[in-house]
Amino acid sequence: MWFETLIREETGCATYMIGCQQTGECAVFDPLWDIQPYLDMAKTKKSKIRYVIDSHSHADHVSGATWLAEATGAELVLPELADIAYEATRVKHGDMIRMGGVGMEIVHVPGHRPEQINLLVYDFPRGDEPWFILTADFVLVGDVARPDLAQAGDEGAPVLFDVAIPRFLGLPDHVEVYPGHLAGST
Amino acid sequence: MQEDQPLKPANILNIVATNQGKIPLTKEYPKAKSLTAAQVKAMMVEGAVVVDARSSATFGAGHIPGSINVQLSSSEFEQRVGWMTPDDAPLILLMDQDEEAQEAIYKMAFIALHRRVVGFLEGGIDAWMEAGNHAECVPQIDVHDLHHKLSTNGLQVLDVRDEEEWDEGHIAKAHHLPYTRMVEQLTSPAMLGSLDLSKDQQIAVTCATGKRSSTAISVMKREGFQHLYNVTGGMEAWEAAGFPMLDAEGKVCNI
Repeated sequence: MWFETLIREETGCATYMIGCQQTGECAVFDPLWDIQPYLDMAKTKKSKIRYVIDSHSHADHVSGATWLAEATGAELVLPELADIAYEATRVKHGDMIRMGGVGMEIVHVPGHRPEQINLLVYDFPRGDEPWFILTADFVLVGDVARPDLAQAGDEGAPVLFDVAIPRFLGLPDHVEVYPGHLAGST
Repeated sequence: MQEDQPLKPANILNIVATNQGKIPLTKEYPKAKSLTAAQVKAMMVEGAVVVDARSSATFGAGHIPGSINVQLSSSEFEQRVGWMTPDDAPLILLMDQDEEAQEAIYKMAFIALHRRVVGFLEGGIDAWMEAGNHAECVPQIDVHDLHHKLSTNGLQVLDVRDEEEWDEGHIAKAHHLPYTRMVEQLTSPAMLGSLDLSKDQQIAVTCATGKRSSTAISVMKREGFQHLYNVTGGMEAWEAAGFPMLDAEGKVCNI
């Protein structure tokens, strides 16, 4: 398994790519509007983009997911609760996406947005325990994301505290955390 | 519960709609088309806003009246353009070099703001003036002149940095209004009118380095403030020169 972080320095937005050397496939999680960096990375890794996954309907930047899926023939994956006007494979809490020895488990973390999902990533040849979690716009550096940004705050806050945070705190202590933002208002 | 939260991302409603597929996603690099000074002038009459993306100093040396200065080199270029221009206004870019217009519209596409760009003024400010149009200036003032004038005449200081930056150290008797609060935002009204400053006063505007202050000045000029000075180098230069600053409690914090 390989794992790469691609950051747009100007806005601190982080996109993650996860690949399996065995199958020569990879997944892109939360791509930004310009898809060229992901095409370049896939080429560098001699890997084919198999899955393009959006954690939620972002409010602070345009997603390149539909463009990237079209350009590569990859499967477009979105949370079951996302309100979208295009075709995509819908995933829900507990689903597992596999690429060879790599497993990406869907963790539903409502609050910032009702539909938001995180990816809990396993490298099965290494062990059965998860290795890291991609927390998108949920757990950020030193805080959790705002529940009042793209919805009313009193709708987002209860599920953030009752559902999302307990799920996160229930993970094994050794699980590494990779947020979707390094800076900015989310 | 939102008053003390950071500003919402610029262009948020269009971004969400794009990500939901309710507005088409642009699947190619957008191109800014070139405009003549006469076209720009006509579009401004119809409500277009000129975004002058040059440095504070070049903006100050001569700019189109009514244009908003957001430097292409600023870290949040596209955010600031989104925040500081009216939500529905078509935008015209004015660059230092014509080819920079493509870089500007590329950055704006990350937040779907490129859709509002109608083009760039080919030939920049020279083309504007050579066509016989008027340009305005913003005098730049260095921190030594500012320090001197504060003690000898009635020059006021307006600090447009964020709350945390202000609390870390500001000029005694300075007025404070974060530049993003000067214009109407999604959830907050424009607060420029709340300033205890009149439009005919001499006001030196400062931020951390002199970029956001120039943005603020361009907004204030649209609102009729007449005598504005941009503080070159901002509070970083003020501190480097060894002049006193007060903390949140009003105590001198750097000497």
